[in-house]
Amino acid sequence: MDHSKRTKALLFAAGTVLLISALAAPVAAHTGHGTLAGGFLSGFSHPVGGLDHIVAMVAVGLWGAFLGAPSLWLLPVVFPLVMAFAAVLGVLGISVPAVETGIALSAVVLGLAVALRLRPPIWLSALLVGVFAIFHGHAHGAELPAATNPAAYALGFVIATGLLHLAGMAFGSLTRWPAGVWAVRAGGGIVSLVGLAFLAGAT
Amino acid sequence: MAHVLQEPALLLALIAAILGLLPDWPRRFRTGAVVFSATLALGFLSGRDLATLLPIPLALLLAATVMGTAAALAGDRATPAILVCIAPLGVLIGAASLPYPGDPIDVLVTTAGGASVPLVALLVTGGAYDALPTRFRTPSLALALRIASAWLSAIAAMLAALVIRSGG
Repeated sequence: MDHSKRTKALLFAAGTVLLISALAAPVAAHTGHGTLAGGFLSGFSHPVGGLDHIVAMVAVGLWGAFLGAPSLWLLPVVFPLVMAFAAVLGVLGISVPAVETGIALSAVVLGLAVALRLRPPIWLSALLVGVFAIFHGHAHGAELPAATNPAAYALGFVIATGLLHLAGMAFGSLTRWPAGVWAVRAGGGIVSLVGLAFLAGAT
Repeated sequence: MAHVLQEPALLLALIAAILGLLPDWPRRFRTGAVVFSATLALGFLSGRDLATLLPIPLALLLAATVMGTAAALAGDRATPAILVCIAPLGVLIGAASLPYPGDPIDVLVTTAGGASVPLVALLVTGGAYDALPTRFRTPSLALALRIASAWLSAIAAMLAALVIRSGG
């Protein structure tokens, strides 16, 4: 597939995700903010129902696209794998400290990485993304046992998380144009600012 | 035959096996399909004994987690490692598809149905992938397979945790 076709496909995927996000009803995304209806839609709404989750997920895809292969596939693969491990901790009732702070910090750091065009070694970027995935995964996993259909809930939130990564990768593909690089870096800056706002609220 | 679709652990394990065999096409798939079929038969033969030794649904979910992780990280490489992962999946899928004891004819028919679904699913997916025009077999497709494997692994791990939590 040539660049223009791939870009169109990625932009279509991003548009679909944004449309789905826009159609999602507002929900209280985190533990303690309301009841959980359970099932696929609840799981799907969880990552897209909290702005801090959304921007961090998108930033993972953005950064992967910025860094190019192999980070392009490594980061969106590492994130759900580590996220699942952390979700297991949440399901088993093992606590992780400062989850909300960690989620907000993930948006700040990943957004800055994109805005500043940081290119650390692959292992370091994977480690960073993996560490932040722990906080996101734990937040999801802690709510999993309360879901009426845990399997569908897990399916929903993993797919939503992955689609947000794809949206980030699609937006990140703009870096092939000089103006796109600035747009993506500006996007990273916005992600970082959103993270800062949540960080101020969490601390 | 619908048993596979009704049991999340079984379905996830089957999808994990299929996703794991598609990269490095067709080398991995050819060998993997043989390994899977042989171990599936072994699972049917040893299923009753195996069920007394370990909780099959939990083992299926853990095997699917391992397979999904391996497939996500390996991509086109490490085919021998993927083939090692496929063996326990075949055995466990076979063991999980065994019907309850009863009328011999019913058991025979149900066993045939249970055995055919994983094999047909594998062959149909393989056939569909083979029929895919070369222009669609792009790095993006390989990327999608890796990401889907990672997602599947994540779902299986969480369901395994739920099974452990419920004491099953």
